[in-house]
Amino acid sequence: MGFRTYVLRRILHMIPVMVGLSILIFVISRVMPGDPVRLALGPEATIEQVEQLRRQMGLDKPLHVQYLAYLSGVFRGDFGYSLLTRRAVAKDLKDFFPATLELTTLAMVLAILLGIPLGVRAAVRKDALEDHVNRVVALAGVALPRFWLAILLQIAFAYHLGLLPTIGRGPAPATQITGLYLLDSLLTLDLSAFIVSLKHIAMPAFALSVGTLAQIMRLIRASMIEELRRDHALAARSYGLPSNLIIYRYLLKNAFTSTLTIIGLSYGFLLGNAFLVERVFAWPGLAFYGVDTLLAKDFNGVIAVTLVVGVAYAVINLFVDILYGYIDPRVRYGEG
Amino acid sequence: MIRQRHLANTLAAIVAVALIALPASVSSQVREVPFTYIEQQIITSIDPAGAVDESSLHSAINLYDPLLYPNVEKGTMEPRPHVAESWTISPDGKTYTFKIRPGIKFHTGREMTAEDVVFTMDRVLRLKRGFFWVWAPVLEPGSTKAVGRHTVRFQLKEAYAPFLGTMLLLFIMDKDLIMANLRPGPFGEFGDYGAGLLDRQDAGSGPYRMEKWERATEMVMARFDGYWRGWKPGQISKVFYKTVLEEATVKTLIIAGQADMVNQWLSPPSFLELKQTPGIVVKEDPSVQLFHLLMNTKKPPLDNVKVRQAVSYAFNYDIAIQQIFVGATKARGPVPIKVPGWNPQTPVYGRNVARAKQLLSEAGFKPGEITLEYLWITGVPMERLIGLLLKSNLEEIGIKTEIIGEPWGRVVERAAKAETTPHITAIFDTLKYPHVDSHTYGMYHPSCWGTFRCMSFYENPAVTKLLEQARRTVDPAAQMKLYQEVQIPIAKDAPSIYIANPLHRIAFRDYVKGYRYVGLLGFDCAFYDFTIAR
Repeated sequence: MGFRTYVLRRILHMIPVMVGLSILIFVISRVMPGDPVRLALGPEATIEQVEQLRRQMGLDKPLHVQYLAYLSGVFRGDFGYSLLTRRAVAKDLKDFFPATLELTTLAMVLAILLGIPLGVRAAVRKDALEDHVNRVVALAGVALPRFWLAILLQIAFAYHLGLLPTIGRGPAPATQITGLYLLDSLLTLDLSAFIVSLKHIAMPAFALSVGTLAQIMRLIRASMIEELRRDHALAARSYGLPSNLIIYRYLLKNAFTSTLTIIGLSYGFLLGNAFLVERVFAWPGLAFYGVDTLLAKDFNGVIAVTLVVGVAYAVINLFVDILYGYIDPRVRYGEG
Repeated sequence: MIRQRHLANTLAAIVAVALIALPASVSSQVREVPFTYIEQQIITSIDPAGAVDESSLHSAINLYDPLLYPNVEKGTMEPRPHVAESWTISPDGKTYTFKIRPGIKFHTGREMTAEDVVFTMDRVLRLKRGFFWVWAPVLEPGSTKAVGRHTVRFQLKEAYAPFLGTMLLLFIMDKDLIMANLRPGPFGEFGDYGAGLLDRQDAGSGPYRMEKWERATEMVMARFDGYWRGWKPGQISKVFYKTVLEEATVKTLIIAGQADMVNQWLSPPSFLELKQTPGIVVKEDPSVQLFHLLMNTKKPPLDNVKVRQAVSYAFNYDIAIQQIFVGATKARGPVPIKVPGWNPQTPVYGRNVARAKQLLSEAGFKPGEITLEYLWITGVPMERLIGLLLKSNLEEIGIKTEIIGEPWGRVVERAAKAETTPHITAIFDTLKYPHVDSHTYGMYHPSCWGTFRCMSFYENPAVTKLLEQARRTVDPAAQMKLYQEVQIPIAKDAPSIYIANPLHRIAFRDYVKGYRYVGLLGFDCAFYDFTIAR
């Protein structure tokens, strides 16, 4: 089986997973306690009105008919009507998803860029003061609630130091291409918009990244300690190779595979769980929207958010699997 | 040479004129007065036909003009002229004729006419959203007619006491703009009735026009220069209306001076903290809200008035007010005391355990025989505390209580039938429209059964008759007398434990002037009324 076949097979595997997910979330959303139509129409709505809207939305039909109608809509890019925002769910997704994607991506980049070198340093200087400090920080990073850290950051950098804005994404760049403000301002070479967007995203991205950063750091440290004990590390050192070359070129590559799995899983996890950080920083993201739809029992919104996060999760993990092959030569797609 | 000198002189003259003219042109520009308001609810729609919650009402009040306006200058919610400069009511109370003020311009520049009022009312009734239920009993599409360019007539099916007050909630929309932007939709010739248009711009004549709206985070409203009431120096020219859900963030924003005003939904400890912060004013007013525990009068043993009275006597009101609703006023009957028409003679229950035990015994119940279900709305922790207090109070008279928390959606669903409604439900109920009718007819007439406001399923033929008579009475004094009279039998029948009229609190920086609270939801944040005196 070649690389292309492998990727194609993985993509095909995603289809039953997504269908299963859609059935599961569709059924759950329908049996959740609370009547969404009554909620949407307000407490003063008459029974007649409730029934009318129910008919209008096709909720009077059998569950399987509703599901098939929904699924055919999804294939046409129609996720139904949101009872919360009173417009097409597709429009909501278009507005909210880029904000979360941008926030989560930057948080992951920060977690990787900071977590890996810190983990390596901690392993190389095992049991030294630096290692102890890093471990305590990592432990705190995993244990501290993200929203609490977010509030502390706000008080320090927005209130006391006045360096960063407290809330929001800032103004959109003059030209929007992808909906990701940082990327759009770079693509249009609008440096001032880039700086403004960076200032807005800095605190939320850092607050969101800390847990994953700490996880990556701890994993890299543990794997690197193992690698440093291996014979090939000793051999490399005895050949007199520079230590940075040994660590970053040879050992880190071996130590990175388990961390890569965590990165893939964390990315998906952050997409759906950025809610608390988005709430503190009034970040107009998908997680924020997802929780609102859940509270309002706006099931079209709930299903759409779950599907989007599910697809993103599956795609990211597909990339991770592909990356394995590049990092670990023992993984050969042709040998599967 | 001469030509060159001439040219130089000409240029010098132009520069001189420009230099003289420049300061003049700069000073003639209006100074921008920005204002940042923080709200903890998202604006779900800027269609005033659907506005019932605070944030949506804020958008309606600032982007549109209602037909009448609460008399904020006199500190009351009584209607005063606004878009309608005068009105007449027929002797039978069925015909209301309003004279529209000439010269009011929509944001499109077109003059408002009676046709716009007709269109607005018919649209609400057809959409069946927002406050339509207030008008649905007496009006239907076609009942409103333009009888002149600036005269509009509402023909009611029957006399309806709260009608004039409800005109505060009729926000006039630009008919031509909406009709020119219809998209296919479920309303026949009216298509989507402007839903698509109202996703991106307003259709009002209010003091501000919508400049930007990012759902869930921010709406920017800029002053409308053509506003019919004119502008004075110091008034707010641009409003940054931001949605921030997290309470800690809201506090940080106002303390840091990044917000000028924050909404009423902060917790009492947060308001206390803000009160002690220099430069911040916390304005406290008795609200027109009622916090009460509705007792399901159709569910045994609460179908027995003596049991309901026993429960009312067992409750410790003082602890509830002093320790849970700090600063609140003890409720005196179903009508909040700030509402015009509240009857000071309404009987009030106080804590009297001996009397409670006696009533329970008279009702034929022995201690330990009764178990009641108490329902509180998850997300409102105060209601849980009240439940714990009630449980401890009822234990003293031998009644067991099961405390259950449910989300709001589930509460609304359970309210649909008497059988599914629990024995006791905790509810915050604010005045829905500026008339005492809201807290009498709206809560105790059987027509409201099935909604959260009527989870007591109260029925007393004498009270029902009195309520109907009050609604049909045209003379304001006689009408008010009936509404006052009806409060006495309702309170005696104890369909609720009336606990508190909580305080309304709001916080703003001390340079914000002109804030007024009259009780009607949203109208305190009419930004046109504010001035900034830094």
